Amino acid sequence: MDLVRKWVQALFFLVTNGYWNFPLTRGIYQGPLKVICSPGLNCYSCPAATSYCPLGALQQLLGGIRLAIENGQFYVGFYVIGAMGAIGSFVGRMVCGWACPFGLFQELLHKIPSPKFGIWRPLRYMKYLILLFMVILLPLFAVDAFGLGSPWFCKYLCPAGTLEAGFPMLILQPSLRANLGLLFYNKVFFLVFFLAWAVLASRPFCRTACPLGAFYALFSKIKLVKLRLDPEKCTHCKACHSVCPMGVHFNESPEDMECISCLACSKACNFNAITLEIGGVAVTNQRPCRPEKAFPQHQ
Amino acid sequence: MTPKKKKSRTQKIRIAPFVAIFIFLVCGAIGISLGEPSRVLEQARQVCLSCIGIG
Amino acid sequence: MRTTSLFILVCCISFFIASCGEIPTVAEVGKPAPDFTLVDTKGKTWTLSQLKGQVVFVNFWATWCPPCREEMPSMQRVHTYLPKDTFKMLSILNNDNPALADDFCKKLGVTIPILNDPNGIIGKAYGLTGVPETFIIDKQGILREKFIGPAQWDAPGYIQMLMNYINK
Repeated sequence: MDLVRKWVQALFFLVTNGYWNFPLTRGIYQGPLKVICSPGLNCYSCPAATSYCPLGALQQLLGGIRLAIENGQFYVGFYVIGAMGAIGSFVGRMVCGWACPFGLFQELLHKIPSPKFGIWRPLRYMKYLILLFMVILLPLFAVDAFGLGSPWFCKYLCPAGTLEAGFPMLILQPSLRANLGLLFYNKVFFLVFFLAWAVLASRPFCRTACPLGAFYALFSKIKLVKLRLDPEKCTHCKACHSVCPMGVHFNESPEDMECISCLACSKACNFNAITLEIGGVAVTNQRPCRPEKAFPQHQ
Repeated sequence: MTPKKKKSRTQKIRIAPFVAIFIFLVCGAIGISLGEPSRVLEQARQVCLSCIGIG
Repeated sequence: MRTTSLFILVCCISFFIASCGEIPTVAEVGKPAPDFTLVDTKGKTWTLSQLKGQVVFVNFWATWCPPCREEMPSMQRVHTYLPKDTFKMLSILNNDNPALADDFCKKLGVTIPILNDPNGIIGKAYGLTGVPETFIIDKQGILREKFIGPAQWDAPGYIQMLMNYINK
């Protein structure tokens, strides 16, 4: 299953970054596909990006909301929220585990041999604050003299933007280098910080800071596709604890907001207590129960 | 094989996700009727310099 | 693992081929600037080739773009400061709503002509990367300078550069 997931991740990476003409045009893709929402965190200023980033688009619309409404145009973000919400209620944070290029990148970084650490659990709440303040409230209310807000999350934090758009654009367009300043160094700091942390801990950005993951996490209870725990089969052997890339204790909280449905726990469970379900119907193949394998050796 | 009774309990179809998906699709449709996609497209087609920390 | 890599390779190649459409010919520094005819928000028609004999400052922008907004006041100062008969400043609204731009410029006190390019056709001809982007065209219609990103245009360096082209 993990191999299937890697394929899907690679495919989504290629589909959302499918424009490879940029070394010739030295610019970004400007075609009509950009009206489609990218499910994962994928900067739409990336030269190869073929779809829009829901967070970037939402911040831009919220920042320009006053100017638009004054001119009789109700660009308030329904389209973006509708797309994000539909994805969220369909698969929720499964996007993080299966379709997010930045998630894939962090997973690959985590394969670098090094001492590995956990992440202090309360840090997970930080991403909800980032969603609330940097994506919604500050773009909406911290406006300049003309009533226009800034995309705060993109401008001051987003490491995916620095990696996918900042550096490539600086390489493609050397004249941009004249404009480098504190803003950019600040963003490079966050990028280096999260990438270094990703080597030492599993998916630190997803777990502590990603507002898109935070938004999808709100659907953990009602999403269509999710993992289900069968309490009758579960022996509380805790085999699912150590394999979880997000630090979830699945047998204790099967509807955890951190779960990215990567199925690592389902694979690790020797009692078939964890299955993938779509709208209440189980879909994963039921392997024969193998309790004899549960205790002797761990993998 | 699981007994039939148990199966019917575990295989109950949940309605909530379909309701949520429908609500958000309606939300998206409202957005489309307001002309938001063209606005999103206008912005997505240009490099957002302030978004990538330049300028 | 081998099949996976093969699969990914095939994907890459197909995407690459799919993306290899036309390579657009875009404006280059030192070559004649692409001509355009556009209508501004006051209804006046502007044609670049008819502005020969003047230095033309072309700025591409959009209302939603914060850096564009930041450089506008400095552009306005240059617009009022430099001689009107040998220097023309034009701002091209790229892929945006002219009503928004008009409202915006009223608030900002900007009197620079705002040319509307609703489908970004001229922007494409000039090989726009993002907004703001600024082009300086000399009296012979040759594209001389290209600036990506915002600038404080009333800084002495820029004024000097513009004066050099004006006095040539």
